Amino acid sequence: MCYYNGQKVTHAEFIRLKQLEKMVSRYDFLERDLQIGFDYNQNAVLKRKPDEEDFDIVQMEWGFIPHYLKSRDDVAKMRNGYKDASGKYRPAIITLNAVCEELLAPGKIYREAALKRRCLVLSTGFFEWRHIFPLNKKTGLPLKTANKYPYHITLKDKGYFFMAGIWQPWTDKATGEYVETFAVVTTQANPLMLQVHNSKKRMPTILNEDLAYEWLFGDPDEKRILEIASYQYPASEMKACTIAKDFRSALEPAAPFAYEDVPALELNF
Amino acid sequence: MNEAVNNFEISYREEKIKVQRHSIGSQTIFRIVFSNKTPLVITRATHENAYRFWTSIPEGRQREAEEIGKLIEEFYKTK
Repeated sequence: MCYYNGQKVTHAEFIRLKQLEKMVSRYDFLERDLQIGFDYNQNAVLKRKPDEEDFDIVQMEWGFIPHYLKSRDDVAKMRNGYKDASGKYRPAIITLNAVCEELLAPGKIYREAALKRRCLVLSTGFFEWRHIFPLNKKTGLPLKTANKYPYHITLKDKGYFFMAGIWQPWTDKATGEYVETFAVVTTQANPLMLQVHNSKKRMPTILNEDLAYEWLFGDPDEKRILEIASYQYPASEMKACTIAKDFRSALEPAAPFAYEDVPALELNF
Repeated sequence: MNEAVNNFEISYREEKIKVQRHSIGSQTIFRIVFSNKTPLVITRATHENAYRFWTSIPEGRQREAEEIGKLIEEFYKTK
């Protein structure tokens, strides 16, 4: 048994708090007034040290910025959509996630990063929305508009896990600001995530320890990169729990919350 | 995202202190900025007996963590 700040905690909790200490000490954004949201926020990322079998835990901005964008104005336009000079609306391009099937496609913005700049995104859990279509009381048919319920997804018996990521250095040519940005690689949903993220049927590529090591330190060819990028973490080793709809503004976003009208997930994988 | 729940001010010992919520590796921490002393980082942890408590990161400012943590809880209850 261990003590942290005079409080009796389990070994696992002690290690978590000590790791958190290390991460906090390395986060220079904490020294600034900065809004941290759930999108385009700063995240802990494991980045390989050049030519070494070692890594740094660094902060990176979630939301891959392609090299051809010149300024933050351009980034905002890409992320939010905009009207071009002719008045035509250019829809937003979201680069939070990189679809594994397109990772190495010629001409795609992620190709070079997938080949040369792979990273691991540290996580304790993630959030997804389940869409449930209520039935019309008269016809018995599903309504067109779904009710959406948020879930918090974690791994059984693992406080931390790694998602496959790719990163990109970027400099704002207008201000000289340098940032490193990343995208989380996504794969097809496993049987658990098919039920939870049932609108898009995708999930982050969660790697076991061996695959995480290979993703970060290995020298995989293109075929192997795609194999790892499309890996589905076993559904039987994951768990998903409903949380409050206002979880983004809750003190503890991952706190379980039960809904009477949400059917239980099928867990017979 | 509601900015008011990530950056707000509360009163602590007759002083206004700034509270900034951050997320690191999906874990929530709060950075407390005082007008007259070093900032404090606090988070919620789980006691061996399963109850939750506030703690400073790193160790050493437990009393402040518990006092300010309670105020943060009050803020979220009444937001």
